[in-house]
Formats: sequence, structure tokens, C-alpha cells
Amino acid sequence: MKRVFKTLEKCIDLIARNEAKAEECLNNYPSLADYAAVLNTAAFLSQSIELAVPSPEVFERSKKKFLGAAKAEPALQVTKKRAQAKVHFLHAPLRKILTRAAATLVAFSMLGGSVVVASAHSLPDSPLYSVKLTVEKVQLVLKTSNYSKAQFYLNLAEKRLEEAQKLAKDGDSKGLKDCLKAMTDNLDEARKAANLLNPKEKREILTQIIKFCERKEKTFEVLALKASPEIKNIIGKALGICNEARVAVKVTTSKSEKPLTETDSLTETPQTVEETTKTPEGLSEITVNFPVFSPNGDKVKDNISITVRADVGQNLMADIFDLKGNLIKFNLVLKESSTKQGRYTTTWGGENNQGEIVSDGFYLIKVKVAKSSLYGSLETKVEVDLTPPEKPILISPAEGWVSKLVMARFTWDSSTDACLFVLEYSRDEDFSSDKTTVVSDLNMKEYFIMSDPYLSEGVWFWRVKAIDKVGNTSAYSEVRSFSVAIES
Amino acid sequence: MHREDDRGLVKRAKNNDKEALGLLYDRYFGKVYGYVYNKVFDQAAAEDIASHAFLRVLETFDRFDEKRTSFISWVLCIAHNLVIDYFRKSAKLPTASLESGIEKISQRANDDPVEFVLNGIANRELKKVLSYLTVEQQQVIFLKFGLGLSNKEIGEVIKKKRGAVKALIFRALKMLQRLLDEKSF
Repeated sequence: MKRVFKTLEKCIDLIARNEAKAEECLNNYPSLADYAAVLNTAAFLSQSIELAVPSPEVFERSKKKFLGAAKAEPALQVTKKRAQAKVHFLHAPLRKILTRAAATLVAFSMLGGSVVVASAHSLPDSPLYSVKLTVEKVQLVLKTSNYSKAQFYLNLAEKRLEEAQKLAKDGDSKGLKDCLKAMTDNLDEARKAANLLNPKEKREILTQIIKFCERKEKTFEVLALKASPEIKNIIGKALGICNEARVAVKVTTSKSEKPLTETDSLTETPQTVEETTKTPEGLSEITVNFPVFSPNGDKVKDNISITVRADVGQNLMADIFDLKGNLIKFNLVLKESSTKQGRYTTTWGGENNQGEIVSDGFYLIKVKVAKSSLYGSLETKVEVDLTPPEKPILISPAEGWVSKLVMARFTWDSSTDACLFVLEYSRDEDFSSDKTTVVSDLNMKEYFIMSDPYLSEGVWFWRVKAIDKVGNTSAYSEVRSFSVAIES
Repeated sequence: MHREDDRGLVKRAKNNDKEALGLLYDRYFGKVYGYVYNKVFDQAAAEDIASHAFLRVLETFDRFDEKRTSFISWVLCIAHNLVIDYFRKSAKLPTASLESGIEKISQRANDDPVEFVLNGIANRELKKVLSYLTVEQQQVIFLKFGLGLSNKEIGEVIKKKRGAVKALIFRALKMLQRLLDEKSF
């Protein structure tokens, strides 16, 4: 029977595309004899429904516009610009570099040795702080390789964080913010410089970044505890960079043909990393109860439950990332189920590290061993959808329509994400509850009523709202009226 | 002559290959125009919306995954959203979901969409029987027999599973067949 239906579907497809006639199908597939009438109806439709076609002028005019826009499509231009920028960087004249270095050396010598030493421990509120920054700039220019630049940036990040800690103690929130921002920028510069290195050096720098992040994790948490949302955002960005480094190390390690040896000049060897970074063991499944949810407080799919299957006795945590790799929420503790061994769960209510609800989009969930740097090989994706559907557009009955029978057929259109509708029709233009009938959970874009007492003579008002699959509700449509006036 | 499949064309078009873009346009502009015209009943608006849909393709090509969705159903979804925008902005009343090109109407006879269907179809019998279908059934019938889309593609346009589309079409055909046989309307 299943086979017959498959053949029937195939035949209907051929007929719809005018590639076969009903008789041909029946001749080729005698098993479809019972469905001759259905096939004839399909053939009748495929011949009767014709498509409006654009005139040749419209076709050509629109094509010209389309291909013209394709020519100016920005992606290619951006790529070219990037390529040019890269070439420019690679061929930058040595003379220019030397000139800059010479100029900064002059500036360095003009500052005077004692001033420079005194400025080393200054904070942003000190007049010597600008001297400190200038010295750092000079030192940076003198770094000739990307490797040494990356290390220097990391060093600067550490200094800025130390300054931030001191300023936090002093209650200087402006200075704290500036220092944390500078720390994050330096961390990012270190990561960018690492990307210009060969795989081995890149891994070394990234490992140093990860180490820095691990050492400072507690500091970040303390600073973020009572900080403003702006400062929390900056810390969140820094944590995002840490995570990008973790992911990149994982990728470069897996791509590397030859593992690093002891003779490799690593500041921190991969063996050390292995000791502190463990992947979850026996991770076999990550699931969420809702693939899409709407953390809007309406109690319908407001949060998701994340369930992980892994070897028992591990301290597991989940981190949430956006699709750009930014760390959105970290260290969600997965608790082991008391009833099912090896099953760990936690919930996520769509908030980020700052406690704010994230925006619409897809998010990745990854699982790690607590305090480690490497994630398990499995991950899962969830979607946050906070956008309500468009309000429905009413189709019929039209405004002012008069029915001579006790019947009305309501139809409307709506955006494709709407899946349920609520129709309200009322004697009252304001839809007061005592005069209004509410028809909920309609899964079609139409509704039919045709008897008293549901619809009696007189003027009626109606409107519709749409609900999407996660419970987001649209605004009401416009209100329309119609009358029932039975001919005697 | 060898006809390059859509996936190959889309892959090339994503790299701004003008030949591939032109071929995709030639292959599908007519269908998109027909789909839009069926909704707006206005040649100028249909041209505008169909052209706009193809321009939107260029803007969002990097987000399109040809492995999951067919090109035609993706463009039709874009066009469908533009049609909704069109009605919202112009506060015009949408027309029926099904219309035949046999008799192209240039103006709306009245505000009842069922009447639009009746005006849009030349065949008197078809006029009557189609009005007995639900709007959803009319839509799948149009996508199937007007545009020649596969059940999977129709599902992508109306956001339903392939099996549900199959059932909708089959039920619509059975109902039409019964009504045409009875000729009692």
C-alpha cells in the first residue's frame, strides 16, 4: 500500500510539472487504477491553473537591475580591500619602521631614566601614568616580531588588570573601566598577533593567553560581582577572547602533525596544559528539552533544561556561546541526577553573564570539566526567539460586509512563524468580556460560524492575534465590523 | 543540453558569478512573479516585489544554506514576506490565495476573497469547486499545479512537513474530484 502511495505521489508530481498525462501514469502503473479519478483531477488542475507571466520588458528590466546590483555586491569589494591591506602590510617599507623606531627612541631618551622608573607603578589618576603609557608604546614599537609583540600585549593586559584591581579597591569606577577596557584590548591584540604566527608559535601564545585567563578567573569574578553593566560587558568580552583562544588551541592541536617536544622553546609546555585542561569523559549526549525558547517571563518555554550523559562522578559545567564564538554565559553547574546515573542537568533562562536576557539568535552549548579549558566533543544548538509574530492581516469578511444568512467565514493571513491564532468576535467595539466570544488555539487561518446563538442579527466586530511556537503573541489585528441582516 | 542543478548554480552565485546569477534569475523569476501576482493582482506591484525579492537574495546569500532548502522555496519565502510588507504598508486588502492566469483580472470586484478566486478562474466549474477548499488547500494546489513545486519545496514555503503537504494535496484532490463528479453546485 505504501508503495502504491509513493507511486501515486510520483505521478501527481509528473502531472503537476506537465511531464506526464494521467493516462500515461495509469498505463505505466496499473496499481493506480483505483486512483484514476484523483489523477484526472490533478491533470485538470495542471491544465487549468496558469501562471501570470511577466512581460519580456519586465523580465529584462528586472534582470538588468539584479545583475547590476550583483556587480556592486559589497562582499567582493571588502575581500579586495582586505587583500590589499595584507599586501601593504607585508611590503611595508623597512625605512618607515626604522623611522618610527628612531622617533620613539628619541622620545624615550627625552623622558629621562628616573621619571620612567618612577612611573612604572603609577595609576591612571597619577600624572606619571601618561609617561608609563608612552614608555610602553616605545617598547612595543621596538618589538620586531609578531611573537614578541603578542607576548608584550599579554604582559600589558596583566599590568592593566593589576591596575584595575587597585582602582577597584579605591572605588574609582571610571579608572576601573578604562583599565579593564585596555586589558581587554591588549588581550585581543595578543590573540590577533598570535593569528599571524606559524602553528607552533601560535599555539604557544594562545596557551599563554589561556593560562592568563585561568589565573585571573577569580579576579574577573570578583570585579564583575558589584560592577556596572558596562564593566560586566567588558569582562564578558575578555572571557570571550579567552574562550576563542581555547577553541583555537584545540583546533591547532588537532591539526598539528607533530606533537611538541621538550626541546621546543615553550614558555608553558602542552603537558602542563593537559594537566589543567581535561575534557569531560564518556560524553555521549547533550540534549535540550526545547530547541527554541522564549525567555520573556510569560511562563511558556521561558528556560531550557540541558541534559548531558557522561561518565559518573565528574564536575561538569556548561558554557553558552553565540555563533561568533563569544562566551555569553559561563560555568552553569550541571548536577548529577539522583535517579539516573551518569545523567547531568542544568537550566538556562536565556541570561548572559551580566544577568541580561540575550537577544534573538542561535546559541551553542558546550560542556567542560569544571575549571578546565577544553570542551567535550559534543555540543548542541538552541534558538532564542523573543520576537512576536506580525499581527495578522484580516482578509474576510470585509469591513461593512452584510450577511443575509446567519453565517460568517473569517479568514486572515499571517507571517509564517505564527502557528496558533486567537479570534475574538464581539457585539462591542471595545471587546468587553461579557459581549465577546474568544476562540483560542486555532491552527488554521480561518474560522466558520453559522448558527444562533453564536451569531445573531446585528452588528459584529472581530479581530485576530497570532501566537508563535514558543508562545510569543502578536498585537491584535485591526478591528473590522460586519452585520447579520436576515431577509424576511 | 546539460542543465546545471540549482545547488551548483547557487554555489557559484554565492561567489558573485554573474553567469550563475543570471541562470538562477532566468530559471525562477517567472515563478516568483507568478506567485506574487497571484497575491497582489497588480502588475506593477508584482514586478516591484519580485525584483525586490531577487535583490534580497543578493543581500542575504551568505545566510542561505543550499543543502537544507531549495533555492526556489527560499526566494518564495522572501517574496511572501515582501507581499505581507506590501499589504501592511499600503493598507491594501490581500486578494485570494489562488488565481488562474487564464483570466487576469485588473481590479477587485469586491472585498470578498472567495469572490476573487471566482473572478480569477475562467473555468466555471473550477471556480465553484475551489471555493470549497480551505485557504491552505488552495495555497498548496497553487504551489503544486501552478508553480510545479515538489512536496518538500512546498513544505519549506508553508512551513509544514513533507508528509503534511502530501496529505493536504491528496485531501484537496479527493474533495475536488468528488465535487466535480457531483456537479451539484
